[in-house]
Amino acid sequence: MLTFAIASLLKRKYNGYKIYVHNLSNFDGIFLLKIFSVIDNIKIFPIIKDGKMINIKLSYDNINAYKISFRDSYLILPASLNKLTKQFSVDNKGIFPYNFVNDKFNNNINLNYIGKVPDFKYFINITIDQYNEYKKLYNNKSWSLKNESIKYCNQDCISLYQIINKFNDSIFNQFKLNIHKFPTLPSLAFGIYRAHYLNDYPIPLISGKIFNDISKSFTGGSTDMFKPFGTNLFSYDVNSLYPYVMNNFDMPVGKMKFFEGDILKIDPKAFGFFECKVIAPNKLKHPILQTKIDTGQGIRTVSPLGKWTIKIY
Amino acid sequence: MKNFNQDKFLLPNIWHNYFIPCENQLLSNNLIKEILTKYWNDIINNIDDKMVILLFRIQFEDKTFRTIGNLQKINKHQFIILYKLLINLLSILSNDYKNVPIINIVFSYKIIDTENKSPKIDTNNIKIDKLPSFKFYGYNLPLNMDIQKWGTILLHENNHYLIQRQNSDLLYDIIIEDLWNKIQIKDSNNLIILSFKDVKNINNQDNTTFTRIINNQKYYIKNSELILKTLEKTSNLLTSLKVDKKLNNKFITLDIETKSINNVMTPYSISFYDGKKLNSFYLTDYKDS
Repeated sequence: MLTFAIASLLKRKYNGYKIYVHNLSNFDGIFLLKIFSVIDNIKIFPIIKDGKMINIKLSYDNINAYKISFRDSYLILPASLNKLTKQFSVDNKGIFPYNFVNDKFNNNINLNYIGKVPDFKYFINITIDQYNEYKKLYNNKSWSLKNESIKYCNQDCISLYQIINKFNDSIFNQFKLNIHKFPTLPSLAFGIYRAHYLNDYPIPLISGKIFNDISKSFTGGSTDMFKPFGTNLFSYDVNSLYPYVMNNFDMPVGKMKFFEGDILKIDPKAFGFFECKVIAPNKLKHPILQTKIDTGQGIRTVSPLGKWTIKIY
Repeated sequence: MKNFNQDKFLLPNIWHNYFIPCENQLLSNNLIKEILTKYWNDIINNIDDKMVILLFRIQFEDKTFRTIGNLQKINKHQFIILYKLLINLLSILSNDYKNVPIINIVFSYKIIDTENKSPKIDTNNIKIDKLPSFKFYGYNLPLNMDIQKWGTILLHENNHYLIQRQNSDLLYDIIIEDLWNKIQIKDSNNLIILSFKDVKNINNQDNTTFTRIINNQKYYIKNSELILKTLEKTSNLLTSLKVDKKLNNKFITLDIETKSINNVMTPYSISFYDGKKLNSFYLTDYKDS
């Protein structure tokens, strides 16, 4: 069945199409990969990161001239389909006795079952009133598992299509970008930034040793623990501090320049990442400057005392 | 035949790294001559009339490598020229190169059988390798702009000076401009070993405070003391993205329903929708499923 379904997609008219599957990275993607591997005359180009199937491109026909890509729509719209239908105000998912098909007490349910509507216990996330309304639809006719499964499956496809369509419309109207160029929400956000907010200053793409050195200047926030007692106390929480700082304060951009020596003698406003020698007095009760050390059992962030070297931003 | 796998090192058109152990010696003219002779005997004298493109590299005891000079294209008759180039380079390299024991000298080379038999000893824009752990390794050059103290003036015509470097065959070929001096260091064959520019400090005209620019490195000198060195790194930049002209709706949604059959999760219903047409597939419709 899966082979027939995939074969129906490998047509010239679908060349260049993106196929969205919600939660592709879970079971569905595994089933699909299994099937792809046994279909003749296709080439598979999967991109999988941290267990997530970012993109599975297939090239097909005799000369592999046509291409389709399978995408996980959850990676661009990270919410359940049920929630998304409400958020995007599109046709809701259908009602289906999911537990009837997957009844742990009856593994051998007949896939061609025709009879009365399954009991309320087999439906999930519906009220008894919704169940009764649903049941009324079958007062004068039999309930068919095959028909209902196909109807339910179709409805999921339609709902997801409407959601993606609306989302694409919205992004295109605001930013003149098609979401299909971006397999994940972060890549879409980055695309919007590159298309509309990249100003004249150059931003270098940093990798390798430079990246590793700079990353040493970043540690997690310093935390401390207190006994929960006090009078006239005020507690504060700060949300979205990173975006706030990025929006309101200078960030290091432009051409990268290494230096050695006292740069403040040449540029008193030097701005960037510095390797500094630190002396944290031994009597300090709460040392605040942090560094990462390899303890042999993993990297740990510590605030040492004494003389040491820090990379700081 | 030598007691190493010589044939392997004589294969053409692939890059070889020929390590010659130096047992923690310091880089010197004698060491260069000894090692170059060995390389010539082991490799170069056995390449017939082929050419070799070659990088001369040294490995320090901390395992780091540095390359001296540029990529050279040589034949087996170029020993003397290459040797002279290397010792000239050594004479202007800073002591950072000379005071650290060397564990290997490495000849990175490729033997090429080319129609073009003309060698090319490249001395322009000599680059110093960047280290994995960043440090500046510079040149042994005067820390002032008073060129009359740089050696013996051999020629002075208008703003052009030719000065012989002290205790050396090398020449400083200098053009004096209003705001900077352009300097080329040349060997006795008029080959350029190094080019750099000394930029005057507009707030200080005493010849001891200036900026020296060598390739992408800047050396800030104050009162003849090096106070800061900077190195500009080249890197790819984030590029802007072009917006789309048209809305693209070439997409399909697909859903798979599964159930446990014999304790194995198995797809039993599949649908896909392209915005116009629904296609559905059900397990029991397929005999072989």
